[in-house]
Amino acid sequence: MPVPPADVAKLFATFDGSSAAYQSLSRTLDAATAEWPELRVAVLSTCTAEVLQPFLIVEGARRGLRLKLWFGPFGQIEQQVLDPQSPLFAFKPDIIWVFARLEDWAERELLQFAALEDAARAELRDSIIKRITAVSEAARRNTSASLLWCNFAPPRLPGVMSAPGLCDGRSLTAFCNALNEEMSRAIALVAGAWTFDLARTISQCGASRWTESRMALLARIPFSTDGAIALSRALTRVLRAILMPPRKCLVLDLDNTLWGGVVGEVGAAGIKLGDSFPGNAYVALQKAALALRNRGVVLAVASKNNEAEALEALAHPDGILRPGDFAAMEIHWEDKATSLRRIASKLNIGTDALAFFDDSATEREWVRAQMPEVGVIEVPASPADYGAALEDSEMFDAPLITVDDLRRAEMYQQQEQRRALQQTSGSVDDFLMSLDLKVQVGPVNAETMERVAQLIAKTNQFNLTTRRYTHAELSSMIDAGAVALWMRVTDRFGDNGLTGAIIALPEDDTGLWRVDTLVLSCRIIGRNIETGLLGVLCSEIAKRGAHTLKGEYLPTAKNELVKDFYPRHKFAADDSDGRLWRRSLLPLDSFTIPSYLHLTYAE
Amino acid sequence: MPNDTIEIRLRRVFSQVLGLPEETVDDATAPDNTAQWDSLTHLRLVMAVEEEFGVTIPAEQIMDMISFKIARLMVEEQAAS
Repeated sequence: MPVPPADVAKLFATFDGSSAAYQSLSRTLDAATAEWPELRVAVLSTCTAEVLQPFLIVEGARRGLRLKLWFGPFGQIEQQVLDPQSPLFAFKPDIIWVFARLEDWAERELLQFAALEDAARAELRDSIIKRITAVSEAARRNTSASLLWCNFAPPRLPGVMSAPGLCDGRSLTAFCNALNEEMSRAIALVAGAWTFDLARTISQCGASRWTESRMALLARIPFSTDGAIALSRALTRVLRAILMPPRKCLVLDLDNTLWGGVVGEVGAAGIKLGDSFPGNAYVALQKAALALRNRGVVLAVASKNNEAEALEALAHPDGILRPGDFAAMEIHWEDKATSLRRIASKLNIGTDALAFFDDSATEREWVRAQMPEVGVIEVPASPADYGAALEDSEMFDAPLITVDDLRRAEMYQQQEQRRALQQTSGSVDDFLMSLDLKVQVGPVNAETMERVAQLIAKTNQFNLTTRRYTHAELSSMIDAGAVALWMRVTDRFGDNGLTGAIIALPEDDTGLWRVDTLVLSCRIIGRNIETGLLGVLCSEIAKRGAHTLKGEYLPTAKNELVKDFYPRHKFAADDSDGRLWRRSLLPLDSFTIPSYLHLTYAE
Repeated sequence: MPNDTIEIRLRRVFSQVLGLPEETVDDATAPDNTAQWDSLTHLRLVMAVEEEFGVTIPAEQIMDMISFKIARLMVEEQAAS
């Protein structure tokens, strides 16, 4: 279970999870979360979904979301989306959740499903995909709200699901699987549109527990109370993942977390790790952590131990994780908050990007009190439940995984090597020269949009304005004439990936432009690469007639680092509080780009 | 709380679902005199009552549960059988 934000956690302390409690808690939360930003979610469905309201409110608040919901009349998906004046758009949604059921969209075809030839099935599939595409495109024309489409669960229709095709790949389930695959491909082509895996949600809830025939027949409600809760959890989990950045680093304790027993007492040979219980439960947690590392979560250790003994235990033959899998290790007898701060500073990430997994309730409480921004995972008493607790914490949820995510853990380790080199080099310039920095810059397009949106959403330190944009908003800015550039950096230790972006907009048609957004991933700061990126931007906008560039610095709690970015680049103050800056772009070559940067521009 | 009488538990459920103080819920509470009790809330009440007492109200009777008193009699009848 995700841990709710501190100010509403006390309301959840007495919450018993009954459906009556959902109703009353949803009302209490309305007042308790009044200060939170509102997320407006419109629901379009082919069945009655209003009954979800209190469940969504409560599960949303558990994840830090204040949902404002609007339910369209059932069966009116096209009517609402095609008409720009419809109540749907009057609601001004941030998210449109579309829940169409195959039972409602293909009722007639389903009744004769077993008899449908392959060609007829393909035709049915195509017509559904066309319908999805048409709705998505219409929504895209009329709003920049994100679209979240439920995929299709095999309908449980008496007489249809049974015998024919059960064993030859022509079952209704096989049809739905193929349909869903094609559906996610079609949705991926629409900017700001996502797939919600309803089929998986239902199978995890249990298809027979999911429905309730009386509610279906009396009120067209397709789910039971258990189903409504399962659906609300899954949906708010996805909304949170779309809106909030995941934690970047999992900090693990060692004794009784990664293995059973205390290595300082029983020795490396005596710890519990292996094929039988409870050793296999600790192995399972190690595997889960490795799986997270393989998809980009950085691993670290914070343990109160003698380092030599702990390292010996990490070499245990039945262990999965080895010292090399951790980007930082704090093994000593100092307190864990200190360890966590050191880990964050070593990795150059905020402490709010850390998640902490420790079997000791005392340590968890200490960290929670010292560092409320850290994601402290509630660890169950038995190691049998550790893996599930890690997964259910939802700390590392990301709506999609980019190529850079997959390489992140590796990149943090290369950073350690760079730091080692820095200690042996002489001057900073010598060091930077020896890095063999190659900086590639190019215009943001469909291929790079997702990573750029992600970077803008996640970057806090090297971020001049901290404006956050969705994929859809970025697209419309570019369509409206903005110049948006991405940047990749490689050096002799490897590829840092897409790690910077800059966006500038014309202020008017006299050649006055403004830098709207400039972000750099913290893993590449300190090498003046930003000067290269700004230089390329200036020459790109100069080609479009720019002669003066305005810059803005909007201070936040985290971006002090870039306070002097504009004065460093010879911008003159345009106000008295250091926020607005301006410089002439003529002559263009007045920018000094450091000689150790090898800049290239990809058209 | 499991030792509370059916009436007390049922009143708690009605109060939570309808958003009314417990002391204002009595046998006479019905859709006619309770603004919050619309058709959607009716289904929520049925679901919450079933969950609280581990009973199933037959489909034919769901729409008949049109007052606190009737709900109480339905639950008492099922509890007795």
